Parts: sequence; structure tokens; C-alpha cells
Amino acid sequence: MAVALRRLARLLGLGDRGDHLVDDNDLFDVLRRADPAARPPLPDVSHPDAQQLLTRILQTPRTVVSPKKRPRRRWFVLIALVGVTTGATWVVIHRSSVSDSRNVACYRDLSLNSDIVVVPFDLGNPLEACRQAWESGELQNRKVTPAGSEPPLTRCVLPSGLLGIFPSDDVDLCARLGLDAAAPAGFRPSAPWLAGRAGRGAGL
Amino acid sequence: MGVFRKEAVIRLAELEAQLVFESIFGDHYEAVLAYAIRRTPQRVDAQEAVAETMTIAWQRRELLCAHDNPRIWLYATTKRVLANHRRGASRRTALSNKLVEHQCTDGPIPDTIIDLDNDEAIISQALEMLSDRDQELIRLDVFEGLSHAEIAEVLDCREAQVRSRLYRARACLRQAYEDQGGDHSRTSDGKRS
Repeated sequence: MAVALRRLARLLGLGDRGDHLVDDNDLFDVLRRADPAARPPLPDVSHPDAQQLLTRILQTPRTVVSPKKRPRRRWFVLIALVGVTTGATWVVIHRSSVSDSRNVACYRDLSLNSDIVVVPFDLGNPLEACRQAWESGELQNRKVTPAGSEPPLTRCVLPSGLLGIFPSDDVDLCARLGLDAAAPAGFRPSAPWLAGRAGRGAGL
Repeated sequence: MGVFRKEAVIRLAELEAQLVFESIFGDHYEAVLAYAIRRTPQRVDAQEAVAETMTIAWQRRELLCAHDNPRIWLYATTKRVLANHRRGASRRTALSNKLVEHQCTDGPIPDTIIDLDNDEAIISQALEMLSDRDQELIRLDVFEGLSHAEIAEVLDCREAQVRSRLYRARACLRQAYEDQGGDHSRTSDGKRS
């Protein structure tokens, strides 16, 4: 009767939003009665079908199941790897190589504030360019070496990218001056640069 | 000697895993079968899905045993298995429909007609009218009796989402039931209380 009245009220547009013919509990009771798994009753685990299934499963040899690969994650890893590699390469290059490859700064003392001679050099070992500056007397420092003789030389990369050559054999000198050590092999001009030099007639 | 001991340890671990799996199988077989039957029209299909689910469970028994509630893991796996079956079935249906188009002119076979005098049939039909997501929410709530947190785990979503979606799904079901002329005051034998 109550339902019929509510239905009538609803048809007449008198019911409010919360006025439902059916409340959730009753609705779900009806739904539970309609449970497809309840009729007919399910076989329990002692049923021969279930036991056969269990036996069959336990006899199944184990296969290695690899986790499903997600393409998006793979791309992300690839991009991250490329980024890290690029960054690392940049750091390595900038730590131990020279960006200004046409000149070398020969220092008179073991300080960045000491006198310097900037020597252009063409090919080969940049140490040789500074050695000539010492030999010619262009650079002199009696604390380090007698006039006209060449001191041991150490290569560092200056903040400007120039190669700095200091009169010392201290392997920690670059670090003490806050500089990066130059690559052990020293400066090796790139092929395009060499070509450019040849084209200009090496007239620096 | 070392090799024999290693083999013995592996064998023992396998036996332990087998015992644990047998226990889980015994505890949850019926519930998983019921879950599958509620979501497939044919019992044979449901039994196939359960067999596949349990085989996956055996293959991945470390994951299953490590789970706090193996039944939830099994429900989630059965859900994926049934979805795969449905995808396969829809492909087969599309193919057979193409064949039928060439073979007959009577049109597609009509769906089974449900007796609308029966409230249980009406609510079943009302449930079928909801979206797949809403149907699954209602079934997990009413038939499987899961908590919101457990439903969220099966559906791989947040608990708050389950709460709001379930509220809407219930409202949709009630509306669909009423639109179909459902009357909860009738008893299961069709008489009004």
C-alpha cells in the first residue's frame, strides 16, 4: 500500500528527490535472491571436478612468468638513460678537456694570479709550447728553476676552457687550485679544427 | 653432499608451497567459482575461468601466499581472466556474425526473454542495464560482500572512488529497477507482502 501511494505521488510529481519506492536494503535482498550462484547450489571443493582440477594444477610444471613489460615505462627508462649518459659525457668532456684549442696559458708560478704567457700552438704537445717559453727566458721564476732551464710542467683546465700549464710536478696541483686536471693524453686537436688551421695557413 | 642438501631444501620448499596452495584452493575454490558464475552466462565458461585462475595462482604462488587476503587476489585475477575470455568471445562472435550475414536473411537471433513478472528477473535485468563498472561494483558489494577497501583492491582504484561510484551505482540500479516496474514488497513466490 505504501509503495502504491509513493508510486502514485511520484506519478503526480509530488515526491521529492529522496523519496524512492524502494530502499537499498529491500533492493539488495531481492538482488541476493536473484544470485545466479545460489541456484543450483555450487559444488564444493570435495566435488570430483574440483579435486581433479587441483590434481591437474599441482602436476603443472612451473613456468617462469616474466612480469608484463610496459612500453611506456621502457621508453621512460630509455629516455632517462640517454639523459644520464649525455650529462655524464658532458661532465667528463668539460672536466678534462679544453674548449679553447688554439692557445695555451703558461703560468710563471703556482698560482692563478701569477704572470702568464699565452702561447699559440699549432700541433702536438701543448707542454712543448710552454717549454719553449721557459727556455727562451720569456718566463722566469728563480724559486722554481734557474733562468733558461725548463721546470717540470703540469696541465690543468682553466675555468675559461683554456689549458693552463704550471711549473710543477705536483699531481694534486690542479685540485688545490680548484681546477680540473687535463686529460692525461693532453690536448688533441680535432680533425675539423686542424683542417681550419691548415686552410688559414696556420698563421696565428 | 652439498648438492643433495640443496636439492632436499628445494624439494621441501616445493612441498610446503604445495600444502599452502592446497589450503588456499580449499578455502577459496567455491567463492571464486561463485564469482565467475555471477559474471558469465554459462557455468561451463565459469568453470574454465576458475581453472585458469587457479593455474595462474599456482604458477605465481609466491605472490598469492604473500598477499594478506588471497581471496581478493583470486577475484582480481578471475576478473582479468574473464575479461580476456570476453575479448576472445567478442572476436569470435564478430566473425560468426559475418558468416551468418552471408548464410541467412532472418536477422540475428533475439536475446532470451526474461519473465518480467518475477521481481528477481526484473532486478537481474535492471543490473544488466547498468554499465560494466557499476555492475561489478554492485556485485562485489552485494554478492561477494567485500568492504570498500577490498573492492578498491580488486578494481585497482582508490577507496574514496569506490564509495562515490557505489553510491551512484546503487541509485542507478534502484532507478532501473523501478523503471522496470520492480516491487520489492512482493515475496519470492510473486505474491505481495
